[in-house]
Amino acid sequence: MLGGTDALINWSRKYSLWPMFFGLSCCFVEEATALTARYDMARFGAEVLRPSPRQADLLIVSGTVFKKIAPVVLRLYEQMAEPKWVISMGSCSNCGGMYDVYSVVQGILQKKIETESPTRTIFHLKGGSQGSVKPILVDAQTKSRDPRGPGMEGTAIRGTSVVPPDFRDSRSDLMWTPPPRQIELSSSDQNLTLNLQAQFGDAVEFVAPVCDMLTLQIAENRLKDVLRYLKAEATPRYQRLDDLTAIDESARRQRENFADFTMVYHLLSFDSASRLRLKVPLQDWYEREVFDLLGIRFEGHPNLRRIIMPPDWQGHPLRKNHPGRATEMAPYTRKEAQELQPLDGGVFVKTSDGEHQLILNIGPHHVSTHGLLRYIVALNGEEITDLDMDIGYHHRAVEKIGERQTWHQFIPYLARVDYLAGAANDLPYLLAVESLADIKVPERAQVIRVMLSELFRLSNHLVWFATYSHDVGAMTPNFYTFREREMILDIVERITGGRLHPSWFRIGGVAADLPEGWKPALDEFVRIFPKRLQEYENLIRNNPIFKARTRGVGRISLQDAMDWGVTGPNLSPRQPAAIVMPVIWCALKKCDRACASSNRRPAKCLPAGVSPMTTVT
Amino acid sequence: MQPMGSTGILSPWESGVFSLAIFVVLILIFVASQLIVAVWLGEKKKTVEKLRPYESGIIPTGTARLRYPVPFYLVAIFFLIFDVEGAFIFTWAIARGELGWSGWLQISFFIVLLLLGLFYIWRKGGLDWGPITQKD
Repeated sequence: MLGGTDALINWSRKYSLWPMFFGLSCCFVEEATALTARYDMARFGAEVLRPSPRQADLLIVSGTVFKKIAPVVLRLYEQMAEPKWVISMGSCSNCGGMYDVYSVVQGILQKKIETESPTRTIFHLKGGSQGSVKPILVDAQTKSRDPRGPGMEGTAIRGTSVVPPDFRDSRSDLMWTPPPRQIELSSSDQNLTLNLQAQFGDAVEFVAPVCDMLTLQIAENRLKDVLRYLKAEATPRYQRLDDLTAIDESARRQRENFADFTMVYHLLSFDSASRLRLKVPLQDWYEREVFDLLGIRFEGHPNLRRIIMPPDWQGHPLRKNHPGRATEMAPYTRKEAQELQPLDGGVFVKTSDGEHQLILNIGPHHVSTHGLLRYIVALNGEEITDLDMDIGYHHRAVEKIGERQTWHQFIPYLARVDYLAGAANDLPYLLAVESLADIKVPERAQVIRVMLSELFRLSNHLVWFATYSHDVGAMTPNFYTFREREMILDIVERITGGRLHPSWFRIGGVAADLPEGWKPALDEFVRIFPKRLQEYENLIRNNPIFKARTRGVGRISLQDAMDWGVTGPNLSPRQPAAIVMPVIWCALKKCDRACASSNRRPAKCLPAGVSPMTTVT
Repeated sequence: MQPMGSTGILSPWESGVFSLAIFVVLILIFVASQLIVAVWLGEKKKTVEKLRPYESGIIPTGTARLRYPVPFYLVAIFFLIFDVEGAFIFTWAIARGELGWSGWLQISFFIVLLLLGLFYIWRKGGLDWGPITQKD
């Protein structure tokens, strides 16, 4: 008789679930899609996703769980009402997936299993008596823990699976590689080099050969002077710092020819639309205080603390001697998630009159930041008196992964960098590789790439528009834009076979020619889309709340924008979404012409040396 | 139109209050049984984490019991004061014919006094809401 009661209770629970999202990356976008009209989550008895653990009994962890965010995931689970369940959505959340890298927890919801070699475990959320306690991963039965796949147990790890400094016996010496591209310096670049050398003497050294842009090597002690000169006095002036990075040179073969580390500055000049790269070899490294990903200490920096990694992280992950794979490190367990907490909010903000101000955390788990970003605000009543941000809750360490993958094998990781833009992420990487190796891409392949990138850009902007409206209080655009986004993703699926991350571009071209039937689907989309854009505009254009919350907020002066290195949409905030339409039109027209001129053979799209076997199925 | 008598349409007082009492008791029993069943069947595990306030998954800093500046409170008090004065004005408006010009003069004096008070509060900054923003 009690068995029947159980069935009844279970049935009732099944159809009255209150799911709560813990969205971390790509999988969360798909989870949010499940809420919209096409998939309609209400069919499962779960009408809405809850943002707070107090109102939820089903935690859906979707996306990559990072070691910095894991304590938050665990806390939210503990704060949920009883009885409670967890769904781990996607391979990253299940087992780390393709992100076997230092910053990623190798799966939640798994019972810790002792194994001999790399422990690919184990962040176990299980509590109470509900659900299963059986180990999900059993070696050689349900899962191979070898990152190379099953059946490799007897073979020592070598080749690209091994990263510096243990990387030896490279076979690349025996391979033919294309000669690097070389370009001629423009006259203004030549003048600049001469000027700098006249000004700073031996401290400035020209680096040959020139592959993409003028590159100069600067002595460490003159760096500040050179940068100041380039920003204020040089012709042209280099006003924007595009990027700042560093290279760990310790894995070089001719170790004695290189310093320990090299700083790399990328500068942009607005006057002449030219770029400049500065390389700064750093000596006497080890005396310096160790810091951040590479451990470089900058003199005079007002606030030098960890930005990406958790505050109690040991070592500097991008150094060659830091383990790359999570499986090479000690397993991250429930114990670590309980002990290694994010920094207290009081560390970040100043409260001027001490006890009368409230310090409040908005994020990392918040409707508008979903797991990525944490704002720490100091509140005096309703007024925000101080604000700081804490990032690194989403750090997939693609730089470190890039060190161990081959040029081709790295492509799947690109789409996941900006997981709304899919193949559009592949393009800049491929352009870089192709310009390094001087590879020519057939025109038809170029057009296909641009077309797919534009489609992804549209789908990306649709999600931007929906979530942006949502963040300022308008729920409806979500349901409109996800409708058209599904159309775009259907076209993408028809062409590439993939949805969010097709990994379909190749070095020198694309994986295959456009399939039958791509044109009608695209034509249909292009036919209806302008009207839909009008719909979106009607939704918000005249909405007084939307206008009040968006107009005249967050102003940045031109000088500030240049000084802070602001790029992208923030530089052109008045750019309407409709501007993408002419761009895709051009791409489509061009594609039409290209299709007419080629004889529709797939091999035409592929460059020499790339096998059609790489087609994604 | 003749006013309708209640005889024969509404229940007599005695039987009406009886069915109302039955209704109230049934409601109380129903609500109590729901609560008791929920308390009896529901799982309660009071752990440290569960009793902690939810603040986006981070451990909160400091106490929430602060001396909290609430401009809304001031505005609410002002509203209450002026709202109550409205009662006098409405009363005058209903009887304005009978009160004549002397009544009109008195209520005008009263309204001007109120406006002076409002103007005073306004000038003193009592109606300023939110942070003071610098113009550009």
